[in-house]
Amino acid sequence: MNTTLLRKLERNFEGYIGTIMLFAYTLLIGYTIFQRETFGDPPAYTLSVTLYLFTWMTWLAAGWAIRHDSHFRFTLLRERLSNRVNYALRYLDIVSWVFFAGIITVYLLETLQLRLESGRQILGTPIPLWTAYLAVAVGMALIALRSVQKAVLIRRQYKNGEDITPTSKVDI
Amino acid sequence: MILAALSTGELLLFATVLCVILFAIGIPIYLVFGFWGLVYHATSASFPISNMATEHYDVLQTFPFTAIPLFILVGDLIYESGIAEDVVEFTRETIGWWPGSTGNTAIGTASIFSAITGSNAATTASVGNALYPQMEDEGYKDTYAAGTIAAGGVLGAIIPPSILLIIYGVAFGVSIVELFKAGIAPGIGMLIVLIGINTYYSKRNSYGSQTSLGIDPLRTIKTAWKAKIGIGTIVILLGGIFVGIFTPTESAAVAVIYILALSVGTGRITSLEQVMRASFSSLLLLGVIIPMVVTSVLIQQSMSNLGLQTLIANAVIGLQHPYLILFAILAIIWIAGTVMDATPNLLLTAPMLAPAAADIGWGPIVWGMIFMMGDSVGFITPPYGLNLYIISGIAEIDYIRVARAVVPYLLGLVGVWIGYAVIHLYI
Repeated sequence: MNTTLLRKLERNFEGYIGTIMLFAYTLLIGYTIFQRETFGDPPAYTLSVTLYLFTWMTWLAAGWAIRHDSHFRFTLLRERLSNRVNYALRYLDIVSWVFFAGIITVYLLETLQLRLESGRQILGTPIPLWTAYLAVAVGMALIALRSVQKAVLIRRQYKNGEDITPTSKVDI
Repeated sequence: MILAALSTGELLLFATVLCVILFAIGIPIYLVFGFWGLVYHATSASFPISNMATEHYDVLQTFPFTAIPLFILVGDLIYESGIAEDVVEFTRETIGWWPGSTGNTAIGTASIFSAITGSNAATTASVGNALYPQMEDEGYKDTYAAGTIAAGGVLGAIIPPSILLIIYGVAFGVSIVELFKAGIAPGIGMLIVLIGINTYYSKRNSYGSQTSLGIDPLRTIKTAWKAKIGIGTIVILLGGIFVGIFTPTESAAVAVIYILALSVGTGRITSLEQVMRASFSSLLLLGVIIPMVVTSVLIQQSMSNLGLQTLIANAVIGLQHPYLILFAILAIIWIAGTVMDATPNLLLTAPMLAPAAADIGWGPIVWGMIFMMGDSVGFITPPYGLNLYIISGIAEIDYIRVARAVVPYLLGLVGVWIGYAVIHLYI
Protein backbone atom coordinates (compact mmCIF):
# COMPACT_ATOMS: atom_id res chain seq x y z
CA MET A 1 0.00 0.00 0.00
CA ASN A 2 1.32 3.43 -0.80
CA THR A 3 1.73 6.13 1.85
CA THR A 4 -1.10 8.34 0.54
CA LEU A 5 -3.60 5.52 0.96
CA LEU A 6 -2.27 4.69 4.42
CA ARG A 7 -2.47 8.34 5.42
CA LYS A 8 -6.08 8.52 4.21
CA LEU A 9 -6.95 5.39 6.17
CA GLU A 10 -5.26 6.72 9.29
CA ARG A 11 -7.16 10.01 9.09
CA ASN A 12 -10.56 8.67 8.12
CA PHE A 13 -10.80 4.92 8.74
CA GLU A 14 -13.97 5.22 10.84
CA GLY A 15 -15.36 7.67 8.27
CA TYR A 16 -15.12 5.10 5.48
CA ILE A 17 -16.87 2.42 7.51
CA GLY A 18 -19.44 4.93 8.76
CA THR A 19 -20.15 6.07 5.20
CA ILE A 20 -20.92 2.51 4.12
CA MET A 21 -23.29 2.17 7.08
CA LEU A 22 -24.91 5.55 6.46
CA PHE A 23 -25.72 4.78 2.83
CA ALA A 24 -26.73 1.22 3.70
CA TYR A 25 -29.35 2.49 6.08
CA THR A 26 -30.45 5.21 3.69
CA LEU A 27 -31.06 2.56 1.03
CA LEU A 28 -32.69 0.26 3.56
CA ILE A 29 -35.18 2.97 4.51
CA GLY A 30 -35.77 3.70 0.81
CA TYR A 31 -36.39 0.00 0.17
CA THR A 32 -38.82 -0.16 3.09
CA ILE A 33 -40.83 2.79 1.75
CA PHE A 34 -40.90 1.14 -1.69
CA GLN A 35 -42.12 -2.16 -0.23
CA ARG A 36 -44.74 -0.42 1.89
CA GLU A 37 -46.10 1.82 -0.84
CA THR A 38 -45.99 -0.84 -3.58
CA PHE A 39 -46.88 -4.08 -1.81
CA GLY A 40 -48.14 -2.78 1.53
CA ASP A 41 -45.68 -5.15 3.16
CA PRO A 42 -42.60 -3.43 4.63
CA PRO A 43 -39.86 -5.73 5.96
CA ALA A 44 -40.01 -6.21 9.74
CA TYR A 45 -36.27 -5.89 10.31
CA THR A 46 -35.87 -2.30 9.02
CA LEU A 47 -36.30 -0.56 12.34
CA SER A 48 -33.94 -2.80 14.27
CA VAL A 49 -31.24 -2.89 11.58
CA THR A 50 -31.39 0.89 11.15
CA LEU A 51 -30.93 1.38 14.89
CA TYR A 52 -28.13 -1.18 14.88
CA LEU A 53 -26.24 0.69 12.14
CA PHE A 54 -26.99 4.04 13.79
CA THR A 55 -25.47 2.82 17.07
CA TRP A 56 -22.30 1.63 15.33
CA MET A 57 -22.00 4.82 13.28
CA THR A 58 -22.37 7.03 16.33
CA TRP A 59 -19.69 5.36 18.43
CA LEU A 60 -17.28 4.95 15.54
CA ALA A 61 -17.69 8.67 14.81
CA ALA A 62 -17.25 9.68 18.46
CA GLY A 63 -13.68 8.39 18.48
CA TRP A 64 -12.99 9.68 15.00
CA ALA A 65 -14.11 13.17 16.07
CA ILE A 66 -11.20 13.25 18.53
CA ARG A 67 -8.76 12.79 15.65
CA HIS A 68 -10.29 15.83 13.94
CA ASP A 69 -10.75 17.95 17.08
CA SER A 70 -14.48 18.15 16.49
CA HIS A 71 -16.03 17.59 19.94
CA PHE A 72 -17.91 20.66 21.12
CA ARG A 73 -16.24 22.58 23.88
CA PHE A 74 -15.95 26.09 25.22
CA THR A 75 -12.88 27.49 23.47
CA LEU A 76 -13.09 31.20 24.29
CA LEU A 77 -10.64 30.93 27.18
CA ARG A 78 -8.39 28.43 25.42
CA GLU A 79 -7.94 30.79 22.48
CA ARG A 80 -6.50 33.36 24.85
CA LEU A 81 -4.03 31.02 26.53
CA SER A 82 -0.43 30.52 25.49
CA ASN A 83 0.59 27.50 23.44
CA ARG A 84 2.44 26.18 26.48
CA VAL A 85 -0.66 26.22 28.72
CA ASN A 86 -2.72 24.78 25.87
CA TYR A 87 -0.19 21.99 25.57
CA ALA A 88 -0.71 21.07 29.23
CA LEU A 89 -4.50 21.31 28.85
CA ARG A 90 -4.36 19.13 25.76
CA TYR A 91 -2.87 16.41 27.92
CA LEU A 92 -5.64 16.93 30.45
CA ASP A 93 -8.12 16.43 27.58
CA ILE A 94 -6.43 13.22 26.60
CA VAL A 95 -6.19 11.79 30.12
CA SER A 96 -9.89 12.66 30.60
CA TRP A 97 -10.89 10.85 27.41
CA VAL A 98 -8.91 7.71 28.24
CA PHE A 99 -10.15 7.65 31.85
CA PHE A 100 -13.82 8.10 30.91
CA ALA A 101 -13.69 5.62 28.02
CA GLY A 102 -12.00 3.12 30.34
CA ILE A 103 -14.71 3.44 33.00
CA ILE A 104 -17.53 3.00 30.49
CA THR A 105 -15.85 -0.02 28.91
CA VAL A 106 -15.22 -1.75 32.24
CA TYR A 107 -18.82 -1.33 33.36
CA LEU A 108 -20.18 -2.31 29.98
CA LEU A 109 -18.39 -5.65 29.95
CA GLU A 110 -20.84 -7.16 32.43
CA THR A 111 -23.82 -6.23 30.24
CA LEU A 112 -21.98 -7.46 27.18
CA GLN A 113 -21.38 -10.80 28.90
CA LEU A 114 -25.07 -11.09 29.83
CA ARG A 115 -26.17 -10.37 26.26
CA LEU A 116 -23.66 -12.89 24.95
CA GLU A 117 -24.98 -15.57 27.26
CA SER A 118 -28.62 -14.78 26.48
CA GLY A 119 -28.12 -15.72 22.83
CA ARG A 120 -30.74 -13.15 21.81
CA GLN A 121 -30.83 -11.75 18.31
CA ILE A 122 -31.66 -8.39 16.75
CA LEU A 123 -35.38 -8.48 15.90
CA GLY A 124 -36.03 -10.04 12.51
CA THR A 125 -32.39 -10.89 11.84
CA PRO A 126 -29.85 -13.57 12.75
CA ILE A 127 -27.49 -10.84 14.10
CA PRO A 128 -26.62 -11.50 17.78
CA LEU A 129 -27.77 -8.70 20.09
CA TRP A 130 -24.43 -8.54 21.89
CA THR A 131 -22.82 -7.18 18.73
CA ALA A 132 -24.98 -4.06 19.09
CA TYR A 133 -23.66 -3.49 22.63
CA LEU A 134 -20.20 -4.20 21.27
CA ALA A 135 -20.52 -0.95 19.27
CA VAL A 136 -20.20 1.05 22.50
CA ALA A 137 -17.18 -0.95 23.68
CA VAL A 138 -15.46 -0.63 20.30
CA GLY A 139 -16.32 3.07 20.25
CA MET A 140 -14.77 3.57 23.68
CA ALA A 141 -11.66 1.61 22.64
CA LEU A 142 -11.37 3.86 19.59
CA ILE A 143 -11.82 6.94 21.76
CA ALA A 144 -8.88 5.79 23.89
CA LEU A 145 -6.81 4.88 20.85
CA ARG A 146 -7.50 8.13 18.99
CA SER A 147 -6.72 10.07 22.19
CA VAL A 148 -3.32 8.44 22.51
CA GLN A 149 -2.67 9.12 18.83
CA LYS A 150 -3.75 12.73 19.36
CA ALA A 151 -1.22 13.03 22.19
CA VAL A 152 1.55 12.02 19.80
CA LEU A 153 0.32 14.42 17.10
CA ILE A 154 0.01 17.32 19.51
CA ARG A 155 3.47 16.70 20.90
CA ARG A 156 4.85 16.82 17.35
CA GLN A 157 2.90 20.00 16.51
CA TYR A 158 4.02 21.65 19.74
CA LYS A 159 7.67 20.80 19.10
CA ASN A 160 7.32 22.32 15.60
CA GLY A 161 5.93 25.52 17.12
CA GLU A 162 2.48 25.06 15.54
CA ASP A 163 -0.72 26.40 17.11
CA ILE A 164 -2.40 23.61 19.11
CA THR A 165 -5.50 25.46 20.32
CA PRO A 166 -8.55 23.17 19.95
CA THR A 167 -11.13 24.28 17.41
CA SER A 168 -14.37 22.20 17.58
CA LYS A 169 -14.65 22.25 13.78
CA VAL A 170 -16.75 19.61 12.07
CA ASP A 171 -15.25 19.82 8.61
CA ILE A 172 -12.33 17.84 7.26
CA MET B 1 -9.23 11.60 52.48
CA ILE B 2 -10.96 14.97 52.39
CA LEU B 3 -13.41 13.68 49.78
CA ALA B 4 -14.28 10.69 51.98
CA ALA B 5 -15.31 13.05 54.77
CA LEU B 6 -17.78 14.90 52.55
CA SER B 7 -21.50 14.14 52.51
CA THR B 8 -23.15 13.20 49.21
CA GLY B 9 -24.55 16.71 48.83
CA GLU B 10 -21.17 18.30 49.45
CA LEU B 11 -19.51 15.88 47.10
CA LEU B 12 -21.97 16.73 44.32
CA LEU B 13 -21.47 20.43 44.95
CA PHE B 14 -17.73 19.90 44.73
CA ALA B 15 -18.22 17.93 41.49
CA THR B 16 -20.39 20.72 40.09
CA VAL B 17 -17.74 23.35 40.80
CA LEU B 18 -15.06 21.12 39.34
CA CYS B 19 -17.11 20.49 36.20
CA VAL B 20 -17.72 24.22 35.74
CA ILE B 21 -13.94 24.71 35.87
CA LEU B 22 -13.40 21.85 33.41
CA PHE B 23 -15.99 23.41 31.08
CA ALA B 24 -14.36 26.84 31.32
CA ILE B 25 -10.92 25.47 30.47
CA GLY B 26 -12.29 23.81 27.38
CA ILE B 27 -12.69 20.12 28.25
CA PRO B 28 -15.24 18.65 25.75
CA ILE B 29 -18.84 19.02 26.93
CA TYR B 30 -19.49 15.28 26.62
CA LEU B 31 -16.75 14.62 29.17
CA VAL B 32 -17.73 17.44 31.53
CA PHE B 33 -21.26 16.05 31.79
CA GLY B 34 -19.92 12.51 31.88
CA PHE B 35 -17.72 13.28 34.89
CA TRP B 36 -20.58 14.87 36.81
CA GLY B 37 -22.75 11.86 35.99
CA LEU B 38 -19.96 9.56 37.12
CA VAL B 39 -19.68 11.25 40.54
CA TYR B 40 -23.45 11.08 40.94
CA HIS B 41 -23.61 7.40 39.97
CA ALA B 42 -20.68 6.57 42.26
CA THR B 43 -22.50 8.10 45.23
CA SER B 44 -26.05 7.04 44.38
CA ALA B 45 -27.72 3.99 45.84
CA SER B 46 -30.34 3.82 43.08
CA PHE B 47 -28.11 4.34 40.03
CA PRO B 48 -25.09 2.03 39.70
CA ILE B 49 -22.21 3.10 37.43
CA SER B 50 -23.16 0.27 35.07
CA ASN B 51 -26.28 2.36 34.27
CA MET B 52 -23.99 4.94 32.68
CA ALA B 53 -22.48 2.28 30.46
CA THR B 54 -25.79 0.79 29.34
CA GLU B 55 -27.30 4.24 28.71
CA HIS B 56 -24.59 4.72 26.08
CA TYR B 57 -26.50 2.05 24.18
CA ASP B 58 -30.09 2.48 25.38
CA VAL B 59 -30.41 6.23 24.68
CA LEU B 60 -29.63 5.57 21.01
CA GLN B 61 -32.44 3.05 20.56
CA THR B 62 -34.94 5.69 19.41
CA PHE B 63 -35.91 5.66 15.76
CA PRO B 64 -36.41 9.44 15.29
CA PHE B 65 -32.74 9.96 16.20
CA THR B 66 -31.77 8.09 13.03
CA ALA B 67 -33.04 11.12 11.06
CA ILE B 68 -30.27 13.32 12.44
CA PRO B 69 -27.32 12.15 10.29
CA LEU B 70 -29.60 12.07 7.24
CA PHE B 71 -30.73 15.68 7.65
CA ILE B 72 -27.13 16.77 8.06
CA LEU B 73 -26.16 14.71 5.02
CA VAL B 74 -28.87 16.41 2.94
CA GLY B 75 -27.33 19.79 3.80
CA ASP B 76 -23.80 18.64 3.08
CA LEU B 77 -24.80 17.12 -0.26
CA ILE B 78 -26.56 20.36 -1.21
CA TYR B 79 -23.32 22.18 -0.48
CA GLU B 80 -21.02 19.69 -2.24
CA SER B 81 -23.16 19.50 -5.37
CA GLY B 82 -23.25 23.27 -5.82
CA ILE B 83 -27.01 23.35 -5.38
CA ALA B 84 -26.38 25.79 -2.53
CA GLU B 85 -25.16 28.37 -5.04
CA ASP B 86 -28.37 28.02 -7.03
CA VAL B 87 -30.40 28.51 -3.85
CA VAL B 88 -28.39 31.64 -3.07
CA GLU B 89 -29.07 32.99 -6.58
CA PHE B 90 -32.76 32.29 -6.25
CA THR B 91 -32.93 34.04 -2.88
CA ARG B 92 -31.00 37.01 -4.27
CA GLU B 93 -33.49 37.40 -7.11
CA THR B 94 -36.45 37.08 -4.77
CA ILE B 95 -35.51 39.36 -1.88
CA GLY B 96 -32.03 40.60 -2.73
CA TRP B 97 -33.23 43.77 -4.47
CA TRP B 98 -34.27 45.42 -1.22
CA PRO B 99 -31.83 47.73 0.55
CA GLY B 100 -29.22 45.52 2.19
CA SER B 101 -29.38 43.11 -0.73
CA THR B 102 -26.73 40.56 0.16
CA GLY B 103 -27.53 40.77 3.87
CA ASN B 104 -31.15 39.92 3.13
CA THR B 105 -30.00 37.25 0.71
CA ALA B 106 -27.91 35.73 3.52
CA ILE B 107 -30.86 35.73 5.93
CA GLY B 108 -33.26 34.40 3.27
CA THR B 109 -30.78 31.71 2.24
CA ALA B 110 -30.37 30.77 5.91
CA SER B 111 -34.12 30.20 6.14
CA ILE B 112 -34.08 27.95 3.07
CA PHE B 113 -31.02 26.09 4.35
CA SER B 114 -32.74 25.69 7.70
CA ALA B 115 -35.61 23.99 5.90
CA ILE B 116 -33.08 21.63 4.33
CA THR B 117 -30.45 20.84 6.96
CA GLY B 118 -32.31 21.26 10.24
CA SER B 119 -29.13 22.49 11.85
CA ASN B 120 -28.07 25.97 12.91
CA ALA B 121 -24.39 25.05 12.72
CA ALA B 122 -24.65 23.71 9.16
CA THR B 123 -26.76 26.70 8.11
CA THR B 124 -24.30 29.24 9.52
CA ALA B 125 -21.31 27.46 8.00
CA SER B 126 -22.90 27.07 4.55
CA VAL B 127 -24.25 30.62 4.31
CA GLY B 128 -21.04 32.02 5.79
CA ASN B 129 -18.84 30.27 3.25
CA ALA B 130 -21.15 31.21 0.39
CA LEU B 131 -21.93 34.85 1.19
CA TYR B 132 -19.48 36.37 3.68
CA PRO B 133 -16.79 37.17 1.06
CA GLN B 134 -19.43 38.75 -1.16
CA MET B 135 -20.81 40.90 1.65
CA GLU B 136 -17.31 42.13 2.36
CA ASP B 137 -16.80 42.97 -1.33
CA GLU B 138 -20.04 44.95 -1.32
CA GLY B 139 -18.82 47.22 1.47
CA TYR B 140 -20.53 45.68 4.48
CA LYS B 141 -18.55 46.18 7.66
CA ASP B 142 -16.85 42.84 8.40
CA THR B 143 -18.37 42.42 11.88
CA TYR B 144 -21.84 43.40 10.66
CA ALA B 145 -21.68 40.88 7.81
CA ALA B 146 -20.56 38.14 10.19
CA GLY B 147 -23.25 39.09 12.72
CA THR B 148 -25.95 39.00 10.06
CA ILE B 149 -24.97 35.49 8.99
CA ALA B 150 -24.73 34.27 12.60
CA ALA B 151 -28.21 35.65 13.32
CA GLY B 152 -29.63 34.03 10.17
CA GLY B 153 -28.23 30.68 11.34
CA VAL B 154 -30.50 30.82 14.41
CA LEU B 155 -33.43 29.98 12.12
CA GLY B 156 -32.00 26.46 11.71
CA ALA B 157 -33.29 25.50 15.14
CA ILE B 158 -36.84 26.73 14.60
CA ILE B 159 -37.78 26.34 10.93
CA PRO B 160 -38.67 22.69 10.29
CA PRO B 161 -37.13 20.17 9.99
CA SER B 162 -35.04 21.02 13.04
CA ILE B 163 -32.73 18.47 14.65
CA LEU B 164 -33.29 20.09 18.04
CA LEU B 165 -37.04 19.69 17.65
CA ILE B 166 -36.48 15.98 16.93
CA ILE B 167 -34.47 15.65 20.15
CA TYR B 168 -37.16 17.58 22.07
CA GLY B 169 -39.89 15.37 20.60
CA VAL B 170 -38.05 12.22 21.64
CA ALA B 171 -37.27 13.54 25.13
CA PHE B 172 -40.83 14.68 25.85
CA GLY B 173 -42.72 12.04 23.88
CA VAL B 174 -44.31 14.72 21.69
CA SER B 175 -45.23 14.30 18.01
CA ILE B 176 -42.26 15.53 15.95
CA VAL B 177 -44.55 16.34 13.03
CA GLU B 178 -46.70 18.58 15.26
CA LEU B 179 -43.55 20.29 16.52
CA PHE B 180 -42.42 20.88 12.95
CA LYS B 181 -45.78 22.42 12.10
CA ALA B 182 -45.63 24.63 15.20
CA GLY B 183 -42.17 25.86 14.15
CA ILE B 184 -43.40 27.49 10.93
CA ALA B 185 -45.07 30.61 12.42
CA PRO B 186 -42.30 31.63 14.87
CA GLY B 187 -39.69 30.77 12.22
CA ILE B 188 -41.32 33.15 9.74
CA GLY B 189 -41.73 35.76 12.49
CA MET B 190 -38.01 35.59 13.28
CA LEU B 191 -37.14 35.73 9.59
CA ILE B 192 -39.23 38.88 9.05
CA VAL B 193 -37.67 40.61 12.06
CA LEU B 194 -34.13 39.74 10.94
CA ILE B 195 -34.80 41.07 7.43
CA GLY B 196 -36.36 44.22 8.89
CA ILE B 197 -33.32 44.88 11.09
CA ASN B 198 -30.89 44.27 8.24
CA THR B 199 -32.87 46.49 5.87
CA TYR B 200 -32.83 49.32 8.41
CA TYR B 201 -29.09 49.09 9.14
CA SER B 202 -28.15 48.61 5.51
CA LYS B 203 -30.14 51.65 4.45
CA ARG B 204 -28.60 53.71 7.25
CA ASN B 205 -25.05 52.64 6.37
CA SER B 206 -25.54 52.34 2.59
CA TYR B 207 -24.58 48.68 2.56
CA GLY B 208 -25.22 46.91 -0.72
CA SER B 209 -26.50 50.14 -2.27
CA GLN B 210 -25.01 49.20 -5.63
CA THR B 211 -27.81 46.72 -6.21
CA SER B 212 -30.48 47.83 -8.65
CA LEU B 213 -33.90 48.04 -7.06
CA GLY B 214 -36.90 46.12 -8.37
CA ILE B 215 -37.69 42.50 -9.10
CA ASP B 216 -37.28 40.91 -12.54
CA PRO B 217 -39.99 38.22 -12.76
CA LEU B 218 -38.35 36.45 -15.69
CA ARG B 219 -34.99 36.17 -13.95
CA THR B 220 -36.73 35.07 -10.74
CA ILE B 221 -38.46 32.23 -12.62
CA LYS B 222 -35.18 31.31 -14.29
CA THR B 223 -33.27 31.14 -11.00
CA ALA B 224 -36.15 29.23 -9.39
CA TRP B 225 -35.91 26.66 -12.17
CA LYS B 226 -32.14 26.48 -11.73
CA ALA B 227 -32.62 25.93 -7.99
CA LYS B 228 -35.24 23.24 -8.61
CA ILE B 229 -33.29 20.46 -6.91
CA GLY B 230 -32.93 22.53 -3.75
CA ILE B 231 -36.58 23.59 -3.81
CA GLY B 232 -37.62 20.01 -4.60
CA THR B 233 -35.69 18.85 -1.54
CA ILE B 234 -37.75 21.12 0.69
CA VAL B 235 -40.95 19.83 -0.93
CA ILE B 236 -39.87 16.23 -0.23
CA LEU B 237 -38.73 16.94 3.31
CA LEU B 238 -41.58 19.09 4.52
CA GLY B 239 -44.29 17.99 2.09
CA GLY B 240 -43.63 14.32 2.81
CA ILE B 241 -43.75 14.86 6.56
CA PHE B 242 -46.71 17.24 6.71
CA VAL B 243 -48.89 15.30 4.28
CA GLY B 244 -48.15 12.21 6.35
CA ILE B 245 -46.53 10.07 3.66
CA PHE B 246 -43.17 9.84 5.44
CA THR B 247 -41.79 9.92 8.95
CA PRO B 248 -39.01 12.49 9.42
CA THR B 249 -36.36 9.77 9.03
CA GLU B 250 -37.97 8.46 5.85
CA SER B 251 -38.31 11.92 4.33
CA ALA B 252 -34.63 12.61 5.01
CA ALA B 253 -33.62 9.28 3.45
CA VAL B 254 -35.73 9.99 0.36
CA ALA B 255 -34.21 13.47 0.12
CA VAL B 256 -30.69 11.98 0.23
CA ILE B 257 -31.54 9.53 -2.56
CA TYR B 258 -33.24 12.31 -4.57
CA ILE B 259 -30.31 14.73 -4.32
CA LEU B 260 -27.75 12.04 -5.06
CA ALA B 261 -29.64 10.73 -8.08
CA LEU B 262 -30.24 14.19 -9.58
CA SER B 263 -26.81 15.54 -8.73
CA VAL B 264 -25.05 12.58 -10.29
CA GLY B 265 -27.49 12.60 -13.21
CA THR B 266 -26.96 16.29 -13.96
CA GLY B 267 -23.20 16.16 -13.46
CA ARG B 268 -23.19 18.23 -10.28
CA ILE B 269 -21.52 15.42 -8.42
CA THR B 270 -18.78 13.92 -10.52
CA SER B 271 -16.54 12.19 -8.02
CA LEU B 272 -16.87 9.83 -5.11
CA GLU B 273 -14.73 12.26 -3.14
CA GLN B 274 -17.56 14.84 -3.09
CA VAL B 275 -19.94 12.27 -1.63
CA MET B 276 -17.34 11.17 0.91
CA ARG B 277 -16.73 14.75 2.04
CA ALA B 278 -20.45 15.25 2.61
CA SER B 279 -20.76 11.96 4.42
CA PHE B 280 -17.69 12.64 6.59
CA SER B 281 -19.06 15.99 7.76
CA SER B 282 -22.39 14.39 8.65
CA LEU B 283 -20.75 11.54 10.54
CA LEU B 284 -18.46 13.85 12.49
CA LEU B 285 -21.38 15.97 13.62
CA LEU B 286 -23.25 12.79 14.57
CA GLY B 287 -20.26 11.63 16.63
CA VAL B 288 -20.30 14.96 18.44
CA ILE B 289 -24.04 15.46 19.04
CA ILE B 290 -25.26 12.03 20.13
CA PRO B 291 -22.61 11.39 22.84
CA MET B 292 -23.58 14.78 24.30
CA VAL B 293 -27.22 13.68 24.25
CA VAL B 294 -26.24 10.53 26.19
CA THR B 295 -24.44 12.31 29.03
CA SER B 296 -27.10 15.04 29.12
CA VAL B 297 -29.76 12.36 29.60
CA LEU B 298 -27.66 10.88 32.42
CA ILE B 299 -27.47 14.23 34.19
CA GLN B 300 -31.16 14.83 33.64
CA GLN B 301 -31.94 11.45 35.27
CA SER B 302 -29.63 12.30 38.17
CA MET B 303 -31.17 15.73 38.71
CA SER B 304 -34.63 14.23 38.58
CA ASN B 305 -33.68 11.59 41.14
CA LEU B 306 -32.19 14.23 43.42
CA GLY B 307 -35.42 16.20 43.23
CA LEU B 308 -33.57 19.23 41.84
CA GLN B 309 -35.98 19.63 38.95
CA THR B 310 -39.00 19.67 41.25
CA LEU B 311 -37.22 22.11 43.56
CA ILE B 312 -36.51 24.58 40.77
CA ALA B 313 -39.94 24.14 39.18
CA ASN B 314 -41.62 24.78 42.55
CA ALA B 315 -39.49 27.86 43.13
CA VAL B 316 -40.60 29.28 39.78
CA ILE B 317 -44.27 28.34 40.33
CA GLY B 318 -43.99 29.97 43.76
CA LEU B 319 -43.80 33.34 42.01
CA GLN B 320 -47.56 32.87 41.49
CA HIS B 321 -48.24 35.66 38.97
CA PRO B 322 -48.27 34.33 35.36
CA TYR B 323 -46.10 37.17 34.07
CA LEU B 324 -43.51 36.68 36.83
CA ILE B 325 -43.43 32.96 36.10
CA LEU B 326 -43.17 33.66 32.36
CA PHE B 327 -40.23 36.04 32.73
CA ALA B 328 -38.49 33.76 35.26
CA ILE B 329 -38.81 30.88 32.77
CA LEU B 330 -37.49 32.96 29.88
CA ALA B 331 -34.62 34.31 31.97
CA ILE B 332 -33.53 30.81 33.04
CA ILE B 333 -33.70 29.52 29.46
CA TRP B 334 -31.66 32.43 28.16
CA ILE B 335 -29.02 32.29 30.89
CA ALA B 336 -28.68 28.51 30.54
CA GLY B 337 -28.42 28.92 26.75
CA THR B 338 -25.56 31.37 27.05
CA VAL B 339 -23.34 28.90 28.89
CA MET B 340 -24.46 25.56 27.49
CA ASP B 341 -24.72 24.00 24.08
CA ALA B 342 -28.29 23.84 22.76
CA THR B 343 -28.62 20.05 23.01
CA PRO B 344 -27.64 19.63 26.69
CA ASN B 345 -29.56 22.78 27.55
CA LEU B 346 -32.66 21.31 25.95
CA LEU B 347 -32.31 18.00 27.79
CA LEU B 348 -31.48 19.52 31.18
CA THR B 349 -33.40 22.77 31.43
CA ALA B 350 -36.59 21.98 29.49
CA PRO B 351 -37.76 19.15 31.81
CA MET B 352 -36.82 21.26 34.83
CA LEU B 353 -39.08 24.12 33.79
CA ALA B 354 -41.85 22.04 32.18
CA PRO B 355 -44.05 21.96 35.35
CA ALA B 356 -43.85 25.76 35.61
CA ALA B 357 -44.70 26.07 31.91
CA ALA B 358 -47.69 23.77 32.39
CA ASP B 359 -48.74 25.86 35.39
CA ILE B 360 -49.23 28.93 33.20
CA GLY B 361 -51.08 26.94 30.59
CA TRP B 362 -48.46 26.09 27.98
CA GLY B 363 -48.94 22.64 26.47
CA PRO B 364 -45.94 20.51 25.46
CA ILE B 365 -45.92 21.74 21.83
CA VAL B 366 -46.08 25.44 22.74
CA TRP B 367 -43.56 24.85 25.52
CA GLY B 368 -41.28 23.14 23.01
CA MET B 369 -41.41 26.15 20.71
CA ILE B 370 -40.89 28.69 23.50
CA PHE B 371 -37.98 26.71 24.85
CA MET B 372 -36.42 26.23 21.43
CA MET B 373 -36.71 29.91 20.52
CA GLY B 374 -34.89 30.80 23.73
CA ASP B 375 -32.38 28.03 23.26
CA SER B 376 -31.68 29.25 19.73
CA VAL B 377 -31.10 32.82 20.93
CA GLY B 378 -28.24 31.27 22.90
CA PHE B 379 -26.52 30.54 19.57
CA ILE B 380 -25.68 34.22 19.26
CA THR B 381 -25.24 35.07 22.94
CA PRO B 382 -21.76 34.98 24.49
CA PRO B 383 -19.98 33.28 26.09
CA TYR B 384 -21.06 30.02 24.43
CA GLY B 385 -22.83 31.28 21.25
CA LEU B 386 -22.02 28.50 18.76
CA ASN B 387 -22.95 30.48 15.64
CA LEU B 388 -20.61 33.26 16.72
CA TYR B 389 -17.78 30.73 16.98
CA ILE B 390 -18.50 29.31 13.54
CA ILE B 391 -18.71 32.63 11.73
CA SER B 392 -15.75 34.17 13.57
CA GLY B 393 -13.74 31.16 12.33
CA ILE B 394 -14.91 31.63 8.72
CA ALA B 395 -14.51 35.42 8.71
CA GLU B 396 -11.35 35.35 10.86
CA ILE B 397 -12.73 38.05 13.13
CA ASP B 398 -12.42 38.13 16.90
CA TYR B 399 -15.39 36.39 18.53
CA ILE B 400 -16.18 39.31 20.86
CA ARG B 401 -16.33 41.80 17.97
CA VAL B 402 -18.89 39.63 16.19
CA ALA B 403 -20.81 39.25 19.47
CA ARG B 404 -21.10 43.05 19.72
CA ALA B 405 -22.25 43.40 16.11
CA VAL B 406 -25.01 40.84 16.55
CA VAL B 407 -26.72 42.74 19.41
CA PRO B 408 -29.48 44.42 17.29
CA TYR B 409 -30.46 41.02 15.86
CA LEU B 410 -30.32 39.48 19.30
CA LEU B 411 -32.72 42.08 20.68
CA GLY B 412 -35.05 41.60 17.72
CA LEU B 413 -35.12 37.83 18.19
CA VAL B 414 -35.68 38.18 21.93
CA GLY B 415 -38.60 40.50 21.11
CA VAL B 416 -40.20 37.85 18.87
CA TRP B 417 -39.57 35.23 21.53
CA ILE B 418 -41.17 37.22 24.35
CA GLY B 419 -44.06 38.18 22.06
CA TYR B 420 -44.70 34.54 21.18
CA ALA B 421 -44.58 33.53 24.85
CA VAL B 422 -46.92 36.33 25.98
CA ILE B 423 -49.43 35.61 23.18
CA HIS B 424 -49.58 32.00 24.34
CA LEU B 425 -50.55 33.08 27.82
CA TYR B 426 -53.87 34.07 26.29
CA ILE B 427 -54.37 31.41 23.62
